[in-house]
Amino acid sequence: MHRTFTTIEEVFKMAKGATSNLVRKCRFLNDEMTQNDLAKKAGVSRQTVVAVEKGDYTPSLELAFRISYAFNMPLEEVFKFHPELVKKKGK
Amino acid sequence: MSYQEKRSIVAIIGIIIGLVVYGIYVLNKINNGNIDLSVELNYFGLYLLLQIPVLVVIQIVTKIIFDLFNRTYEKEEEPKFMDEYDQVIELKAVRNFSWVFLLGFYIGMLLLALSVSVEIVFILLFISIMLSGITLNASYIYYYRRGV
Repeated sequence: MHRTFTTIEEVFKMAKGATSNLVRKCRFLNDEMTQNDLAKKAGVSRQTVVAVEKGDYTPSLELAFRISYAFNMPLEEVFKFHPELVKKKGK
Repeated sequence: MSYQEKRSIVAIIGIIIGLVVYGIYVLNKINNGNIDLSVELNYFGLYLLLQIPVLVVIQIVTKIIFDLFNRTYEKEEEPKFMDEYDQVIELKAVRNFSWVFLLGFYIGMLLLALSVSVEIVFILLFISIMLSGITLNASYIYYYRRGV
C-alpha cells in the first residue's frame, strides 16, 4: 500500500540532502497517477521515480523540470530546497 | 527486488563459480606442468590476461541465462534504456571496481618489492580481479537499494 505524507516535515525527513519533493502528493492529486505513468511522461524508468519519491535520489535539474512538467506544475511546487538543512546535512 | 539487483546477484554467483573453476584449472596447469612462475613470467602474464576475457564471458553468459529465466518465470523485461539514475549508479559502481583492483595491484607490487614469492603475488592479483568483479555487482545492489 502506498503511503501518503501528511506533513511537510515528514517529507523533509525523508530527503537525504537539502532538497525534498512532493511527487507522491502530486501523483495523488493528478488522479492517482501511477509511478509507471509518471515515469513514461518524464522519460525515465519506474525505479527512478521510486527513488526520487523516497528521497533516495536527487534528480538532475532537467529531470526535476520534466517531472513538474508531467504534473503541469511549477518546479518549486514539486521540489523544495531547504537552506536550513544545508549545514545540518553537510551538503 | 529490482531487475538490476537480481541481475547483479546472479552475476556475483557466476563470477565466484566461474573464476574459482578457472583458478583451479590454472593452478592445476601450473602444478602439473611444473611451471615456475618466477622464471617463466610469460605464464604469469598469460593467465592473468586470460582472466579478463573469462570474466567478460562469465558476465555475458550469466546475463543471457538470467534474462531467459526472468522473461520465462517472472515475465519481466529487461529495461530498454539507461536513465540518469542508472548512469550515476554505474559510475559509482565502476569507481568502486577500480579502487578494489588498484588496491590489489598496489599490494601486489608492494609484495614484489618486499621480495615475496611471485606465486603469492599471482594469487593476490587473481583474487583482486575476482574481488573487483564482485565489488562491481555488489555496488549495483547497494546503490539500487540505498539510493545515491
